[in-house]
Amino acid sequence: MLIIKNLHATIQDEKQKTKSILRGINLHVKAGEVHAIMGPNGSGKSTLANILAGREDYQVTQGEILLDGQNIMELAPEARATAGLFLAFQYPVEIPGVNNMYFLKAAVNSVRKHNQLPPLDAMDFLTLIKSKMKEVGMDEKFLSRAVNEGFSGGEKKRNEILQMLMLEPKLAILDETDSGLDIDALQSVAKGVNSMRDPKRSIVVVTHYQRLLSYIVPDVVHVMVKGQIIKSGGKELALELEEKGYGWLNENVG
Amino acid sequence: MSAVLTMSTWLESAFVSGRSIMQPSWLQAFREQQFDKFLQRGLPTRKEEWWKYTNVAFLEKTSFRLPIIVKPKKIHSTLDSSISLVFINGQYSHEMSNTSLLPSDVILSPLSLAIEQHEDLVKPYLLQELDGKKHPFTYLNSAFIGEGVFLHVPENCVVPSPIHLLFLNTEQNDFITYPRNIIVAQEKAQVTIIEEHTANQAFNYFTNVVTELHAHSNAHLSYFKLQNEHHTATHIANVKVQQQQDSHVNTFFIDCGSRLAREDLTIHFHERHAECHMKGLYLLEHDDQHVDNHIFVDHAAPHCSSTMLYKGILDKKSQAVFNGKVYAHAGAKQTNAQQSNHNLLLSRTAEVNTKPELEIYEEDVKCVHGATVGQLNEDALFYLRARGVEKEEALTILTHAFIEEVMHNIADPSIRNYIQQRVRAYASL
Amino acid sequence: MSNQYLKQIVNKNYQYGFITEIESDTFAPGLSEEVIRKISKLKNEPEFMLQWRLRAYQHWLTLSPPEWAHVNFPEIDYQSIIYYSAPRVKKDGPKSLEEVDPQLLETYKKLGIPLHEQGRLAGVAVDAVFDSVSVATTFKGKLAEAGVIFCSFSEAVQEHPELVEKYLGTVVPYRDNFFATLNSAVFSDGSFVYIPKGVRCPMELSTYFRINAANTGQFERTLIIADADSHVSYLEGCTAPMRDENQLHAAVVELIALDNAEIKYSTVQNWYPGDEEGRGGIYNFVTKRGACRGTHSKISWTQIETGSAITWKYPSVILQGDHSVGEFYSVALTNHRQQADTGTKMIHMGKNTRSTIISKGISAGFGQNTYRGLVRVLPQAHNARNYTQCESLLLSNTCGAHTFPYIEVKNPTAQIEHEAYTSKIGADQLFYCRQRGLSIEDAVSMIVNGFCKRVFNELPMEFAVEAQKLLEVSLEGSVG
Repeated sequence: MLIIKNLHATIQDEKQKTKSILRGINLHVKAGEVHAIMGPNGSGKSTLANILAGREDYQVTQGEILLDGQNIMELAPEARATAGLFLAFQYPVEIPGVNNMYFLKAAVNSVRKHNQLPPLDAMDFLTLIKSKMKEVGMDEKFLSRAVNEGFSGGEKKRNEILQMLMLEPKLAILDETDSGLDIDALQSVAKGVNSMRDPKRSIVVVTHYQRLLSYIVPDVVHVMVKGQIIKSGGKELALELEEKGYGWLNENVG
Repeated sequence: MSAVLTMSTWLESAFVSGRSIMQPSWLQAFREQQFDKFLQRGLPTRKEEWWKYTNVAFLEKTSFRLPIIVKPKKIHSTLDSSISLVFINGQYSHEMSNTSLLPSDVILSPLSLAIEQHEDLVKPYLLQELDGKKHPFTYLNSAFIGEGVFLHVPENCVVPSPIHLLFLNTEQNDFITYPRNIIVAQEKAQVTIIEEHTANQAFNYFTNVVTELHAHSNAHLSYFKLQNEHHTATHIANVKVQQQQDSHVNTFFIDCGSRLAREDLTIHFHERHAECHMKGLYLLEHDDQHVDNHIFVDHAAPHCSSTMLYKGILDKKSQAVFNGKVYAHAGAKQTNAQQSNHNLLLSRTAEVNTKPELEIYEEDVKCVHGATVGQLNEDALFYLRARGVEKEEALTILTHAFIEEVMHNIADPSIRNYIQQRVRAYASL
Repeated sequence: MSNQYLKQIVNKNYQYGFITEIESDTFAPGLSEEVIRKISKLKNEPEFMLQWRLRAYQHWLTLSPPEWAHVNFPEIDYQSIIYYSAPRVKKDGPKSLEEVDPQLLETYKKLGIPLHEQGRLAGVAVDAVFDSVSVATTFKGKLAEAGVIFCSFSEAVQEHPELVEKYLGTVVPYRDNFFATLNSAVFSDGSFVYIPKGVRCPMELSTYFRINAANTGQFERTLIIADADSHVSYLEGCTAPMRDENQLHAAVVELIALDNAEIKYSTVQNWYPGDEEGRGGIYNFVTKRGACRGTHSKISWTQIETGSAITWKYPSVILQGDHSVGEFYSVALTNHRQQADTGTKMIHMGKNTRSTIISKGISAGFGQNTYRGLVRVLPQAHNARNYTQCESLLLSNTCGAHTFPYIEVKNPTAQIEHEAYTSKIGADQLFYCRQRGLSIEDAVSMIVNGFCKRVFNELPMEFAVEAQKLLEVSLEGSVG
């Protein structure tokens, strides 16, 4: 599903200095698998998620990203989205004045158009979204609010998961989805994600803590430090990290 | 124009009598030229947008004398500062000044002396064209250039304690002074300046001051302006700040005195990543007292940020004017500008005119401004009184609360103390 | 960055740029006392109207055009403008809609404003002004039943001279400013509304202004009086053909609200804005002012300004009555070479008066967009409240957005709050929308509409959708 080959990326900081943040990432996520990418703050894991989604603040200097065999490096963010890539943002942005339901309907129909499906009419859409909202434990009142405006941290994250359920991506990337969630919200978010597990779908969970991985059990765990994946293993690696922290791994980094 | 002629009559004779053979010819030529420019320009009128709320027409009908030299036995400075230069009625007083703690490579001297001793260094700064068209009093200041300060802090030099410039007006009436200060902080230099204007037994005088501040790259410069002139005086000031790359400037204006005070402050960002934080406080307590703060922030380079926070409290029949303008040129990417102005009116006859402006020609900016006018929170006042606090004390507490935000981050204890004293004196009225 | 994609969007043309071929009675260009006498005579005006016009003209001769606005344009030659042009009518003018020239009916149909009393705008009464005259007013019968007077200004001068004489020029005096004075001298028609005591106007009223003839100036005048305890909602729309020359539109609107009365005045201004290079377009120099004369009266202005080469207008409220309320909601968009200098004045005179100002400016292309506003609290205006919010969005590197708010307070009990914000469209918002599969055009349009939502909400429902579409069209090709 997702193949990343030797990906290097840099960013220009405020003072126009170039900083290297990804230094040769290799990753292979097969269809049906759930991978977790863990790492300390500043290791580049959120950057990786954003680069996959096509954020233009970074310069990719080397490497390739293949989604379902297609090289997506040159694709605009919306083309990646319609091709089936979904990013659940760490900090979902507020868009004042734009109705949440209207926004999601436009997004769903944009993806459907790409897949040569007819647009959903208002009734079908409403029925569908109401059932999905129930799944993630979201009140219907959020439909008439502006996108993320005035939402609490937890509400924003639930809204991200709702969007994912509606858009049914091939590859879902969850960027620190557990940050700022209480245990109730964490459970309903995990429930939403687990309901998406499917042999045809891949999920990449980017997280600092092991906590989320007790609810969304990964097939493979990668550890990222200083822009490189320095260790990969099974789900037990996450527990090991929880116990020992990231410090012991630093010695391995060149 | 005929009105200006009345003023120009006494100015002309003062100008002729003030000619000095001691000065170098370039300076004399400059002064002649600036004088002509002033006569051509004339006084600003309220029809000009930049002077809309401040009427200086009375100056046409007032004549001022040149000050006589007085030697007071001692002065009461409200600040205890270890480095100070004192000017009495515009004249430098060597006896009163104290520069013993100054690092040896710093030049701090009266302007006249600096012109003699460091002519090449002073000349380019002095001859810089300032915005006399908008602010004609600057022409006048240049024409009559009085005594003032030349401060030069060399590269990497950190001046350990604030430099206090005290302009004391005393024992004379109806005179005019033209102080001119030039302050230069070279690369990575660090310095704090306090410019204080105050009076003792002096009335109806006129201070026309120009201060230029130059912050070279990575310099850190803090400038405090304490205006506490006598309440019959006129104080017109123009402060120009030039900032180079990564320089960091803080300004703080406190205006308590004068019948009419006009403070122009201009910040020019010439290079990227410069920062300027401006604060101001005006406390007005006399009938017909008028204080006007005009600030212009010129974002001519990318990645610069400016913040502006001015607060004022007005009592009796006083008037305050605030005009803050942020101008972002095309190409000034990542400009970050904030301005806010808050006013408290304590009397029915006080008046505030505030105008926080933005003029933006660049897309990649974040500019915010806000202004409020109101009175003390009656509920809070009642709450305090209900808890047994006397009304006067409650007012003082709330007044302090209102200005606390402005006081925040003033590190130097003597300055903090000075400002608190002014506030206490004001609030206890 | 992402803006590069946006450049590819093709620019849609101004949709209302066609010209109607119709026979007209048109004066020769130029302005003189003679011209004014001719206009007055043609309209069979009573003496007081003629004298008022002539006083205005004499005063106008002493004035020079204002220069303080943040706009640039070549000097206007007032002698080259045609001051009167009207489609020719056979008799005295149409008595009913059936008698209106079919050409004109067709024109309004093309503009989406059908002048029959059924169909899409069935709930809205329309007065259609074509060049210098009103050509039709719908629903007069139904409105008359409620006691509402809604007619052309010319008709009001004939039928209700006492109301006209009593109120004309009492809010915007003929000496007010250069353009208002010119209008007072030469205005040829406009709309007149009188809502009697205690009446809630049963339907939306609207005037649709169309400039058609070349080289003419349009000088209409609208006067709305809401008597005690009455309520009216009024909307105006404007379009003009595409021409390479600039045309002058100098209108005056006066609103008067008596005790407990409420006037809601909405404008969707879509005069021809000129082409991409800034050729042609309307100079929209308009004086709009309302007086809240009565206690608890309310005047609310809503404007969507997307057209005109230059817009110069400040719909204002004089809050005379105690407890009166003034509101100003504005969206102003400047694209290509358009310039707008617009805002409001809220003059607080009465006690417990309140005003709200919400201004949204959008600049694109080489557009220059200025908010200019005044909030003044006079000494007797106890407990005045104002809240102002100005937001500007910049969509290109060559445009400008400026905010010049004047706040003058002479009463300590006032509470005035002003906040303003200027920025480009949020990169994060754009990326978020695109990550969900929306194209850049859709994302920008969605974000901009969200930005304007607060103002759109104030429009009568029939026109809110229209305004949203208008914004989309005006924005096309603008981001980059």
